[in-house]
Amino acid sequence: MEVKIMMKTENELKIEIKGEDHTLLNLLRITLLEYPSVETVWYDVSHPLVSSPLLYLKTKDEDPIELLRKVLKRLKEDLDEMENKFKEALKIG
Amino acid sequence: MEIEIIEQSDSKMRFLLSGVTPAMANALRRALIAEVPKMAIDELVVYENTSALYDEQIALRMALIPIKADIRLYYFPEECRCGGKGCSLCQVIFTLDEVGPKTVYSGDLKSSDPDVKVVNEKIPIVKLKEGQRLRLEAIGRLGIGKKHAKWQSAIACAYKNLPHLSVTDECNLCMKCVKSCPKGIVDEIGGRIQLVDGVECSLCKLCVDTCDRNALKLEFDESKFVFQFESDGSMKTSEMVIEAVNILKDKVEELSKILEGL
Repeated sequence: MEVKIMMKTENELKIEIKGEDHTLLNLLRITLLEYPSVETVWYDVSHPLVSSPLLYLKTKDEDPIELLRKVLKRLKEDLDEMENKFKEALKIG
Repeated sequence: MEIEIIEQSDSKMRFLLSGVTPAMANALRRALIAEVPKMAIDELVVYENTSALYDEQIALRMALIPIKADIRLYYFPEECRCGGKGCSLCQVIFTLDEVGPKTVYSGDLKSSDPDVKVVNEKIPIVKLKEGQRLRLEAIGRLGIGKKHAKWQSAIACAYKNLPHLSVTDECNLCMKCVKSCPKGIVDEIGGRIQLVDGVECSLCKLCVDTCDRNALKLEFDESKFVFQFESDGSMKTSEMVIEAVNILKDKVEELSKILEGL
């Protein structure tokens, strides 16, 4: 994964995430939309085989990178919970 | 978030995932199909092939043979210490030398690592006639389904929202819907028509169609997912699902780490 900042202002962020696709980007988009401080968020995969998706985030008042970090932290917690629930349900380690 | 296992064996798994967004369920599905690593034959060195099939056709047939390997013991070629040149840490070599008349099966492949073997020994590769010979070396490498379908270990991986029947007061308990259900899961309980087992429902909507009074409607619970997938045998389903969650976690962690540095 490689991240390139295409644009960054006080409340806008546009980054290119190399090597990722809908798996991560759609999850990020939908989770970001749940936050009231998000004005707009979209991502674009211009071609499924060659492209590096663009993620655009516009917030109302928060620093977009700060918000993205917060969302990633929450996703990590959700996925940790999912792993534990699976392990519990499958009775493994 | 709740996870309830409905059915689980080494080759098939079905569970009810509730309290998550559709995006999360879809991320899990996509990770299972395209990102869980698997060993598959990636390169052939053909020394002799006098069979009826071209080398390329044999290569394709061999690549699609599921191989059981512990993926934690191997590196991806691009991440290996050898730099992708090929070593015992990132590849397994299978040898094959058969003379006709006989049918060459997947079980005839001899692996360089005794723990790495084909899932099913009875997959035919090619039929050899009298005097024909097939002698080759096949190199197995780790890969992911995103790159090629031969590295996809999850098959028939899909989910549906948990269905339930909503019944209006128009219902006169004529029981036509109960009789129409091919799975026998629509029943009258306490004077009301109900879908007894939403997990088993195949969404055929015969109950809705047979109702003369339009009293039934099949609805979905958008936060509950009946999720199911099968394994081709290269990995146990329980390991696969944990691996898929870990892959998603790695992605999230990696992006967080990169953002920390910005």
